[in-house]
Amino acid sequence: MKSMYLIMGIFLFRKSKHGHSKITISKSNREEAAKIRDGFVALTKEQLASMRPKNVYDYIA
Amino acid sequence: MVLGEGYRFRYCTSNNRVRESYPLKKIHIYKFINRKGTVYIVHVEEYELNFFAIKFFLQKHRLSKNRYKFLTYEYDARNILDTCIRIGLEVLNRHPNASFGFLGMPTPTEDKRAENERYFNTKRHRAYLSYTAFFFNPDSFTFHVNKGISSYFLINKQQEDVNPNLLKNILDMFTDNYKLEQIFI
Repeated sequence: MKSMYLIMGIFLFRKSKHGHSKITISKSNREEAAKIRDGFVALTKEQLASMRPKNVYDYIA
Repeated sequence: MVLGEGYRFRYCTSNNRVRESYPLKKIHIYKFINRKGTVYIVHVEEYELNFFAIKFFLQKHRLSKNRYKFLTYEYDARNILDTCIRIGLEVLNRHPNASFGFLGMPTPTEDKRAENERYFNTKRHRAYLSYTAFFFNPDSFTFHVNKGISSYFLINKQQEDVNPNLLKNILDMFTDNYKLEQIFI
């Protein structure tokens, strides 16, 4: 019986390590969520062009 | 110069039974072997809103919670990234409306930084961002970067034209359902 519980325990532990668990963001994390959202900045074409060697790479998509 | 051939990869399976999955729909699993015989696993996570996150790690690290952080010291990044980009292209062929997300996990050294700096502008983030800028046309995708968490999104312009709030919807989808540290684990 003990070994069955042990095997179940290992199985549940493995399951919890993998896969995403859905956790609704709590009030205390809303600030963090807003910070993440506001932290995204769109790069301009000029900024992107400056990051790549001119005429060296072909766009693929 | 064009995108390298990378390594020959194979599609293994897709996992439809992701526990408590929303907004994650499926995980598509690919594998490839590099010139030194190291086996890599690539997870293409398919989310709602045609959003895909591409993650890769060594097969031998698959059970480690730090699997995205290790460095191999095999100096083979170019071929590995070429292979992952080619997998991304295959996804794009199947899902022409796809948008993509990346997170440059900290290296073991960066991981030792202070809590609030750990994810800031990591080495992987800088490398991945440059690499995608080489190959993805800004006429097809808009690039949105958050250096603070070393993350960037390539938002499909065709889809953005249909839904101008696409980026916001995607970010809300993640922040409403996951904590930051869970998103890319």
